Order: sequence, then C-alpha cells, then structure tokens
Amino acid sequence: MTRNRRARPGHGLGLAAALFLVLGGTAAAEALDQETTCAVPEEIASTKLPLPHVTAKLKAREAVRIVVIGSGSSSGLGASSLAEAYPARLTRELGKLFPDGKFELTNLSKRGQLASEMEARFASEVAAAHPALVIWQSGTADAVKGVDLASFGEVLETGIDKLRALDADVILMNSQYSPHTLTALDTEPYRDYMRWAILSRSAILFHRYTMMKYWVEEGVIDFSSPSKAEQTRNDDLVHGCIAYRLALLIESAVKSGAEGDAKE
Amino acid sequence: MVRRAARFLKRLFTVDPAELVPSGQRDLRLDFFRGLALWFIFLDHIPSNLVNWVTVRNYGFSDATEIFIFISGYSASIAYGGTMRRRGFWLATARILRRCWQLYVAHIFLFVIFTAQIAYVAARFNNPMFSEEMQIVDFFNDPSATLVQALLLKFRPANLDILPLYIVLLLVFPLVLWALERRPAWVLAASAFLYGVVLATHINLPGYPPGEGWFFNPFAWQILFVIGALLGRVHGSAEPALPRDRVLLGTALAYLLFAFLVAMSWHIPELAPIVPQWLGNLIYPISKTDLDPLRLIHFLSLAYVTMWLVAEDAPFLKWRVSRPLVRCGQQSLYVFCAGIVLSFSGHFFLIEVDDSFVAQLAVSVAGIALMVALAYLLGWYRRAERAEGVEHKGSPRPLPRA
Repeated sequence: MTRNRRARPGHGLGLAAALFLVLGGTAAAEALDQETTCAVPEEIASTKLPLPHVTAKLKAREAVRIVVIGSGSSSGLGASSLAEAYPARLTRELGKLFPDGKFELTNLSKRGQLASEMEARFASEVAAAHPALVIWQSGTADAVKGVDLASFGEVLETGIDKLRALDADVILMNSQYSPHTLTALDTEPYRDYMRWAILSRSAILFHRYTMMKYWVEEGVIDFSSPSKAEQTRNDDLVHGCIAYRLALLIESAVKSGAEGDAKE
Repeated sequence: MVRRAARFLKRLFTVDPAELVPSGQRDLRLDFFRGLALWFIFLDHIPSNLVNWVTVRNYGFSDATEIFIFISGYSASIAYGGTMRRRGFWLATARILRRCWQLYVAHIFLFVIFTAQIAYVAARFNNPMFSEEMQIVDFFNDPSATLVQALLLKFRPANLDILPLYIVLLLVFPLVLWALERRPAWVLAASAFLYGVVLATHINLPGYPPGEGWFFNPFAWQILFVIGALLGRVHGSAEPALPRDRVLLGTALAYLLFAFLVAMSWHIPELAPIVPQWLGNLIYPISKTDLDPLRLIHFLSLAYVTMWLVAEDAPFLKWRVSRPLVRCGQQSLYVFCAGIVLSFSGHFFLIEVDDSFVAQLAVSVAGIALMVALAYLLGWYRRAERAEGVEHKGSPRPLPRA
C-alpha cells in the first residue's frame, strides 16, 4: 500500500488553519486536519452503491433520522465524552457536508451485544425511531464469545432484510483494529462473513478495521503509549476520523444515487 | 479418465499393504511440504506481517491447515499401519495414544504460554476503547472454569485450535486404521457420509463458552485426515498412487485458477467484479469451520498438481536449500509448538517495538531461523541417542545401572 493511493482532497488550507488556531477553535482546527489525518486508501473511502432513503429525505428537505446500533465502541467507549464519540460527531460532520440537511441521530448501542441480540431489537426499538439509515456495527462481541460463524452470517443477512423492510438504508460497520488483542481474538472470520453478507445484499460496508489498521501503520495513531492522556487523545482522534469517514461515505452514496437518477 | 479413476480407486481399495515392499527411504515430499506448512502457519499467525503474503491462503480457498492435517493423516497411516499389521492392534493403539498424549501435553503447554501473554497484555494495556476486545481476558478471570474447560479441550483460544483437532482425530484413529486395513472403501464411505451430515446439519463438538462449537469442526475435518490415511496406506507401491491423467490435471489447474481469481478479488478492489452477486451467493460463505467443499476441492487439486509436479525422487528435495524445510517437517510437533510461541512473540515485538517492514521481515526470518535451529538440534539429539543405543546393543557388557 503506497501513500499516493490515499484519498487526500485539497491542500493549501494553511491560512484557514492558522485563522482557526488563532480563533482558538481546537475542534475546528482538528476538523481541518481530518483531511490529512483521516486519509485512507481510496478504494475504501467511497461507495458506488446508493442510499435511496437518505437521498429521498434530503431531496424532500425532511429530517434524516439515523440509528446507530452496535456494541461497546459505538456506545462511545474510549471517547473522552459522549459528544466526542463517533455517533454524536457523525451528525456534526454530516451537517458540514449537507448544510441544508437536517440529521437526527439515535444511538441504540449497548456494550457487549451480539449481532443476534441487536437484530432482535430491529422490529421494536429501531423501528420506533423511524430511521432512513441504520448503521449496524457488530462482530467484536460475537468474536469474543466465539459465536458460530454460519449463524452470525445468517443473522447479518436477515437483519439487513428486516431493516430494509422498515424503509431504512443499511451500512454495516466491522470490528476495530485492536493490535494488542490480535493474537487472542481473531475477528477476521467475522469480518469475512460481513463482507459476504453485504455482497449478497448489495449493502454498504464501512471498513473500520482496514482504516484503523492503516492509521496505525501510517503512524497517525499509536495505541502502544501507556500514558492515559495520550490514549484519550488517540481515542478521540479515532472516533473523530470514523465520524468524518462515515460522513464522506454517506455523501458518496448520496452522490452516486443522484448520478443513478440522472442516468435514468 | 473415468476408467483410470475407477482402476485407481479399485487398486486403492483392494491393494494389500502387507505386500508392498517399503523402499526403506523416507518420502522427503512429506517432510518438505509439512515443513512448508509449519512455516506458513507461523507466518499466518503474525497478523500484522506483510511477509505472510507469501503463504498459500492468500491465493486460493484452502490454507496451511489443510496441508498439515492431510499430511498428518498420511504419515499416521504409514507410521501406525505397519505396526498394526506386524505387531497387532493393541501395540499400534498404544503408540497412537502415546502420540495423543504428547500432543495434549504440548497443547496445554501452549495454553499456559498463551495465558501468560494474555495476562501481561491485560495488566499493561487498559485502553477503554478496546475494553470490548479485552473481554477475551475475562475468560481467564475464572480459572476454575477456564482451566477445566481448557483441559477438556472445550476452551481453545484463537490460534490454539489446530492441535485439539489433531488430538481428537488421532484418538479415534486406532479404530479407523483397523477398519482401513479391512474395508477401506467402507471407511471412505462412512467418512464422506459424516462429512455430508455436517454440511447439512452443522453438528459440531461442544466448546466453551457453552453453546458454541469447535472452530475446526472435527466431524468435517476428519474427511481430509481419512483421505490422507487412505493414500498413505498404499504409500510406496510401485505403481504411482494416483493416476497421471491430463484431463484431471487440467481440471485441477482450472479450479486452482478460479480460486486464485476469487481470492484476488478479496485483496484488490478493482477485481471485485470477478465475483458478481450471483456467483457470490453461490460460493459464499466459505466455511473454514465445516471445511467447505470449495476448500476441500481446492486442497485436493493443489495436492494432485503437486504430486504431478514433484516426484518422490525429485532432485530439489535433496538440495541443500531444501534441508531446513525437510528437517522442520521431520520434527513437526516441536517445530509447530515453537512456531506458535514465536508467532506470539513476533507479533508482540511488531506492535510494541517496531512495526516497519524491515522489522516484519526480520521477525519472520528470525522466527523461521529459530524453528530450523530447533529442528536441527532435535535431529542431532535423536541421532546421537540412536548411535548410543546401537553401541550399547553391540557391546557384550551390560548397561551400567543408574
């Protein structure tokens, strides 16, 4: 993997950066950094698949309701506050990309939940939130418990079908890249089944594992530091980058949906 | 082709191994490829290592596990089949069970090392971001459960699941071998039937935590072990064990190419269109747990092509550069265990000290060098012991008492 394959939109924002720094907006400065900090290989940065329900809501200028359902990391573990966790930051990032859009987010994530336990909540709690988009993160808790892979894959597929029956678009998110537990906890088979599920259902996958691995390899984040402050900084950075990349992925899906409409 | 295959099967099922004249020479191919599988298993067990791109799993459906299990079945058949024919069922059984015990002890040893590593990681890294992943450690907070479950082979942490599979396959091997000596066709039929039952019902041995099965389902993987044992049984027959058929070779090569292209589509996004949705629905999921037929056929194709290309007396097997591989294959249990321990340490070095490509290369080379060194040491020791044994036998003096 070489550096020149990174998606790095635009440079020469130094002046703006300086301005932000002068204004003391650390969050804003961070946002600006994201383009370089949160860079990922181009092929996982965007999608050609559409998100028809999100696009329709945006067109109709209605609020886009988003549900995030996942396990520990989606419930905000690691982030210095809930506001810094990726689900909360996602609406802020989307607000920047779609200034006219309105986004309402419900986070139904629970630490340690298995994919099957989440799927059991689709018809009740998720349906009650009337989402146009569901971001479904899973695989880690299942790997910890060693859930049978075939049934994990089946749950993913029926889950996607159930969400679509609620008139919601679906983005799946896979496990985190967790260097220290790699030899003890193998999430790869679960990520494989996730890849096969999105292929069979033409759903979108957010390649969280590959992205985080890339950031570690590029030296953007370093999980080996024992310092608490350094850890929190890294964790916030990861949550921020995930929100940023998710928003860009959604934007690319909305764009490809619009292109699809234009062709018809 | 069909006629040749039928003749081959008939021969496979009717030949009396007792009539085969063993060449007395070790088939170096077994050692060579088992050594290769051990190197691959070591490399594959270091997750963040670019060097593991050289291993077989990246270029098709099957991986080093298949090679290891197949060759284990093949050589178990050679090693214990002779004993059973010459010395009877009970001695062969005793030898097989002794081997099981060695494997079991080795597995528990690896488990202890694994636990120590987990404990160290848990004490040192407590980034809340990974608290969900760290729940894998929680299993170790209750030693009364974990240790007992580990001793029962029900609790098998990731990367420690090959030996338990090998152990249970060997445990029932005396009966399999006994039946193979009498009704090989029935054994294959029974094995295939069990495999079919697994594919239909996913029955598995119970694991821990409760409710989950083995990562390598022994009811499925036994088919590979049995096929290996069946071929190992006629090992050394003058006629080549497998028919050299060009159509069969072409089919195998075509299948390997297909698997190669599919595997490439996993790694190179531009190649994703190779597997359109309908094909994906057809081939996925490719279960490793239940040894998906796609994997089994892939391995058998690979083995067939290898047998075509590499004759028993292929010169390269005796080349000096092949020696390290052959030696590793000859000491497979110890080298396997060393490989697992080294892969833990290697991975640890990469994430803690240096994860550059140079470091990855260095860790890979150093690990393999240590595995080879161990194999040479054990080989030297064994030869020395044997030489001494011969000396004592030859001398009229009684052995000095300890």
